[in-house]
Amino acid sequence: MRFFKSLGFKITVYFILVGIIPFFLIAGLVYFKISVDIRGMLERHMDALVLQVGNTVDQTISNAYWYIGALADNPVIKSKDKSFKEKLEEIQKVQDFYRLFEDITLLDSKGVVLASTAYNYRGELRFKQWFQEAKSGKTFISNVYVVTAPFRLVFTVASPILGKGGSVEGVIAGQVNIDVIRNIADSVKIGKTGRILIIDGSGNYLVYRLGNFLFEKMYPLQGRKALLDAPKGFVEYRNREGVDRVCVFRSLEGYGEYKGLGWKIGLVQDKKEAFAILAKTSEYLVFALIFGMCVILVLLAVFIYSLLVPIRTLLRETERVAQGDLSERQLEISDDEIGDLTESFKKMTTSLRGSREKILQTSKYLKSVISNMADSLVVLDRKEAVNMVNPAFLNLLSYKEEDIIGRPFSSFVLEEESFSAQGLFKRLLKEGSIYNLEINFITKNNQHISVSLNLSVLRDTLGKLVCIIAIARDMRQINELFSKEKEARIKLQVFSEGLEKKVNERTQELLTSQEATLNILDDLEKSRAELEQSNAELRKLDKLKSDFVSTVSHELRTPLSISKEGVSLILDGVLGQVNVEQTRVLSIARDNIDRLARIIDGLLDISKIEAGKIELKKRLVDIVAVARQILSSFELITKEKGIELKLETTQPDVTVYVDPDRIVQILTNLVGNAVKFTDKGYIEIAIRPKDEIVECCISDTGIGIAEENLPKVFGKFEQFGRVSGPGAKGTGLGLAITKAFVEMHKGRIWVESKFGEGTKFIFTLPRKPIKAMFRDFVSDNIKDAIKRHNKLTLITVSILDFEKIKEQFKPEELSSVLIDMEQVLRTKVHSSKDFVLKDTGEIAVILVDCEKTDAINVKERLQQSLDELLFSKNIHEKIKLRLGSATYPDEADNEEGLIQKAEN
Amino acid sequence: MKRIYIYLCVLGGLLGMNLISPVFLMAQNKKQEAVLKVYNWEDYFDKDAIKGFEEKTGIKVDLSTFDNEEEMFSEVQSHLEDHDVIIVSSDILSQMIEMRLLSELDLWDISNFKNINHRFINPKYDPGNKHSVPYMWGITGLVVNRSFIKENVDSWRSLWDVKYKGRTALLSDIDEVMSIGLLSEGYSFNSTDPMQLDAAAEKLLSQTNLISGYFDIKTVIKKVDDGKVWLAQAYNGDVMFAMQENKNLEFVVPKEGAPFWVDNFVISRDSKNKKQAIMFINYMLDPQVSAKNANYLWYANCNMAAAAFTNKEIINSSVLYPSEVTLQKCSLFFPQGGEEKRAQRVKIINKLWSQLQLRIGHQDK
Repeated sequence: MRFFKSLGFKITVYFILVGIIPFFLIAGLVYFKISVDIRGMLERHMDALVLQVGNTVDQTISNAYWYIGALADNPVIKSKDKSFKEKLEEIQKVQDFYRLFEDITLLDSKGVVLASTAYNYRGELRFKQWFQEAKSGKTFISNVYVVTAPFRLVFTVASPILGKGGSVEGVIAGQVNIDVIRNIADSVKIGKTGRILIIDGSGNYLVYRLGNFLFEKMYPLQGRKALLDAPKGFVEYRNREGVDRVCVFRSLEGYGEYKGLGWKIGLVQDKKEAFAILAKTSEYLVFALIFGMCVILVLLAVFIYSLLVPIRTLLRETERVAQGDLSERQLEISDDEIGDLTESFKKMTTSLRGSREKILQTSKYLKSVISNMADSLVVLDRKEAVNMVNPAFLNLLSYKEEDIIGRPFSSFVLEEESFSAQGLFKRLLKEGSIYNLEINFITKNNQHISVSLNLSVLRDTLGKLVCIIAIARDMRQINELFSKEKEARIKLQVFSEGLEKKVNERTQELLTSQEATLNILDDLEKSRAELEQSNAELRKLDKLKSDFVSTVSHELRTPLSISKEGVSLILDGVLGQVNVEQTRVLSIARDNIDRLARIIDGLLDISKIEAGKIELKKRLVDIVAVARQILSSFELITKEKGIELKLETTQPDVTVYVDPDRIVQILTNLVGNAVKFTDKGYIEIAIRPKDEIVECCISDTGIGIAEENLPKVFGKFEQFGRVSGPGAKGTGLGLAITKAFVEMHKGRIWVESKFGEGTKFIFTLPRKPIKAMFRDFVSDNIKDAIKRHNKLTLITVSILDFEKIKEQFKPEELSSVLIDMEQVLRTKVHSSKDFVLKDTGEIAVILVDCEKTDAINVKERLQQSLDELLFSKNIHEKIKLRLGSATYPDEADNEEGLIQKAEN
Repeated sequence: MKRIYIYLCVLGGLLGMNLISPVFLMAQNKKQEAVLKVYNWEDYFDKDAIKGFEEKTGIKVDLSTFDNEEEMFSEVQSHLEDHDVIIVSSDILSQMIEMRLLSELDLWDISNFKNINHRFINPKYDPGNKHSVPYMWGITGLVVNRSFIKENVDSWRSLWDVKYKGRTALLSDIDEVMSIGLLSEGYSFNSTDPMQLDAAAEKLLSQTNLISGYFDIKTVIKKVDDGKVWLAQAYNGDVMFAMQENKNLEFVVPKEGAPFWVDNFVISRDSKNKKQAIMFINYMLDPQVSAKNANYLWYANCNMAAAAFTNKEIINSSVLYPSEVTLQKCSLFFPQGGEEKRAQRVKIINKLWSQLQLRIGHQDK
């Protein structure tokens, strides 16, 4: 059915209707007209011939009529004196002269033959019709009749011989053989089949090409009737041989006195022959018709083709574009409207392509914005079901994307008395957008998360709702920061007030020492103002969307350090003489400023930790050595206090893979606390390596912690057991930071204490086999490289046959060799990323952002340096080194592969 | 689609008319009362037979008669369409066939044809009875009025006997006359030999001063019956008929032989009532109808089956049904030889007949 609706079919039908059908109609009309004309022409032609022959025949018969009449008037014939013989001679003369009569007979009035030229007749003549008619005084021509022996057709012309007074004295009759007429007719031959035919008034053949049928009824009846019924005309019929014949005929109407016998003369011809010219003409016409039709069809095909091909191409292109393929194609362009269409289609495609690229870019851009935005984004459809979310949202609510899509908004919103999702949407549709709506989300684990929600409705140009966009901000951290900042502000205020008070107290004293004091006051005022400003800055935090911590660090620490510097300048006497009392007060101020700085540092640390912004720079660390180092740093203080420091360990060195700075911080905090709260006895660090962990215990014999306070020990700003007095005051953040650092190392920290007897802080660190640690090290570096989009090269230096060498050297010796080697490497590559595997005699160096080719250079340089080292120590014959390198991601894309590659 | 139905209806209507129209034509044809034109010798049918046919079939019969075959012949030649059934003797039947004046018959349509005596079937003048059905038959012989002639007369030559000068008569039929000339000279009357024909002509010309004239059969019988003529040429049936009234009459088959003829039913070529004509012929062949005719005519019947219903006098008459010995002397009139010879014969007898008539003068009845 598609075919019947196609353009080609329609055009074809139209062509047939407008082109071919009229063409055929006209051709048909032309043929009809031509055939009628030709027929008419042929008929006229034939008729003219028939008329001509007919006239000749009529004339012949008329001649017979006239001769007999003349003979009847002949005086010899009329004479009563002349003998029969004389009369016969006279008659014979006529017969011989005209050669028309077969026999001329003279009869008396009773019908007795007086004389006859041939006596060639049948039966008694007195009974013949012609005799009866002649006797009644008329010259008469009989019907044609048959005479046998031999068979012939004859007719008799009889004329009365009139005596004086008009009485009929006798009759003279001439017998005419039809052959006379036949000879006339036979002289006419048209084509192969055209012959003259004559029938008598009864329809009997008188002259006919088939002699057998002479004096028989003309066949067929149809032809006979036609000839008998009309004076002249044209008839078509099929003869007994089954041949179609045509006949043009007319009556023989006589000539002169002879009025005709009702005979018909016709020209009969095979229709095929007669109308051969018509057949030929129609042949030409059919040929012309077929030729014309072929031309039309070819033109039609060409036309349809030329029309359809570009349309089809265009259609195909349109379908291609509809399927989203906008790539450029070379299209043939014709110079008609279709060409224009193609041209404009191409333009459209090009413009579509441009738009789509823009859209794609925008959508890509938007996608990355959406997926990278810290806030959660939810797009709801018209039915308020989730249509799209961003990763932040999924993180916030712990959902997977496939779980949340399609769920109603209300399913993850905590509905309260004051809030319902339905009400929200009603309002939203009315107002268009809602900002800063504080509600709670329900996570997958049924936790409630406070969020600030911004909603807006997106409508299309017709105002129809397309979707609802909801942006939720996790308010937990901000709220927390708010509360922390509040606390800090309160504390700062208290401090400020105290400071102000004290400053006021001292103002009077300071008034005396003019400039200095004024300067001090100015500075203080300035610092106070700055502090207040920083407070204001802090207050802005809740509005800041960017990093709160950095703001704090920058905006708070700078004025503090300036304040501190000012106070220090005064204290150092740079600005003039400072008395003892002033020094004391200023020292207190400076101490407090220091403390404030420490608090801020601590807060900063905690914030960073909690925000996950602190990265551990792990390396292999001998924790025993670290502990020893820490204890030695406290030696001065403890000696003053008379406290003993102890280090207890089951192994001379315990290597762990940790961030050394953090471990130092942890130990410093814990030992520092111990020192602070211990006045006698000892402080001990015990390091106890176990299977998978290392336990560090810092115990003291200090004041201890009350049991009720134990749970709060690691809280922020928790200080207890504090004895007011001189010395550094704590920030109240130390243990919280410590705990956070331990936990970052995936360790655990706890406290054991008895009030008045002492305190034990115990923390653990994970301990792994050396190889595992090495893998962690490489893995951490790869992660780092991925994050920074860097390359990474691992260079390993291994001592061959390390186990044998171990036996030859003392451990200290070997260790020092390794340390020296490490030192050499460090100086040569300027890299902090190294790793020494003392147990296996291997050193690994990570070169960040180093191409493979560079790595080979570096490796060779290292080899040279290490060889020199070994040579200088004169152990180059004992210790053989092997260096290997591997570059990420060129040679391997994970730590295992990289290690393996480097080691082989 | 509706249009197609309309076309179909119109087409159907046309077809229906075509089918019905012949029925109308047939009905019209039946309305026209058929009149069957029968052309026969004078007084050669029993009137009741014609009536019987008319009553049985409802076909009206228009009977016209002739007393001379030549007259019939000329009439038929001139007006072929005006005649349906014609009674034609064997003498001219073959000529009429040649002249294409007669229709071919289908004998299957004539169930009573089976009644015809085998003797008359498939004659040489119409092989296969294609055009004719035999009716009555007879012999042309001599009629003698014994009141005047007592001596034995057994020869055609008696017509030249000077004793009977002025008391003899011949039939006004050239062929019959010619046969006497030939037979009396001892030739076959079917001869086409010009020598024989000329001899016969001489013989006949020599007779013209002896005979009273040439007459039709009815006239001949009348003259003989009246005694004006004592010896004449005549047909046996007519003689037999007259013999019922006049016991002095006698029919003689001369020793030289005599023409033997058969009258036949034929149908004109241009007859417009051929079907009715066949019915008529078939009716006439019915044994009882045929017998009725024979009883009336006193002629020998070709219908064998009619004998049972025919009068004994007729059946037993030696005049009508002569003995085989006598019959052996008779033969059909059928000129011998080819066309040329026959044409020659025609010319000779035409000339003779002209001369004879001129000498005797034509006598009206």
